[in-house]
Amino acid sequence: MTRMNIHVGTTDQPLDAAAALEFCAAPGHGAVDLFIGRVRDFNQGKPVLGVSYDLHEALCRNVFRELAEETVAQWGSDTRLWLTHRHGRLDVGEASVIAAASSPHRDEAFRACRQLVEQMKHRAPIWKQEHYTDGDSEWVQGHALCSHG
Amino acid sequence: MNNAATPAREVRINLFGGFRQFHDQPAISIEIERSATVATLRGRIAELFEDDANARALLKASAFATDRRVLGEDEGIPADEELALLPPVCGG
Repeated sequence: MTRMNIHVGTTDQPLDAAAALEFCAAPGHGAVDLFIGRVRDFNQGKPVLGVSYDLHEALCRNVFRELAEETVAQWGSDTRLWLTHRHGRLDVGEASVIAAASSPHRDEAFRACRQLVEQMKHRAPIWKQEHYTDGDSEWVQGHALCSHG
Repeated sequence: MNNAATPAREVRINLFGGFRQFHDQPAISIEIERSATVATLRGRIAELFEDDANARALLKASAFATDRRVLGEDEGIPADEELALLPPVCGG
């Protein structure tokens, strides 16, 4: 899903950091901030073999779009943003999410990229199940989307 | 229960994340009154999990959504749209 200065998406294929940087390139932009989230080999005292990501694709793309539009409104209409998240089974070291932001100056690029990532973690319909070396698997606890009692 | 004022209809609720461990199908179908709210639907699903305290705890912390947005607890169930049951999220 690409519209002018925003690209968001989900995929079961490996993520492409070079594509994110290329999308965010603009002659007037002197700063590009790139974030890559990767599967790490240890969490909460347990060695991790890999992570399975589950997501609601249609809602996820809509939420990504909403987050990106909020970020552009906050940090400038010429900010360019990229946000893609992978789903399916990933091994340790593989990229699960790539976010990039570019702007004329570094402060806006840093802040826009961080806002996009933090909001994604709190609001996007994505879940992860960690697989451990002892053969066990657990769904990771997250942030509730609801506000009812 | 069916009645003339609020006939029942079937609603499909797709399951995600941790709910996949509590149900052997990717979705639940429930017959519910057309006037039902999200809160009503939550109660009906809780009945399905009456023997599983972990599932009911996860349900309490979860939201309902369409493909476009998260629904409020007092909203009616949208017509002709599949719903999703969304446990607490943790992307990245």
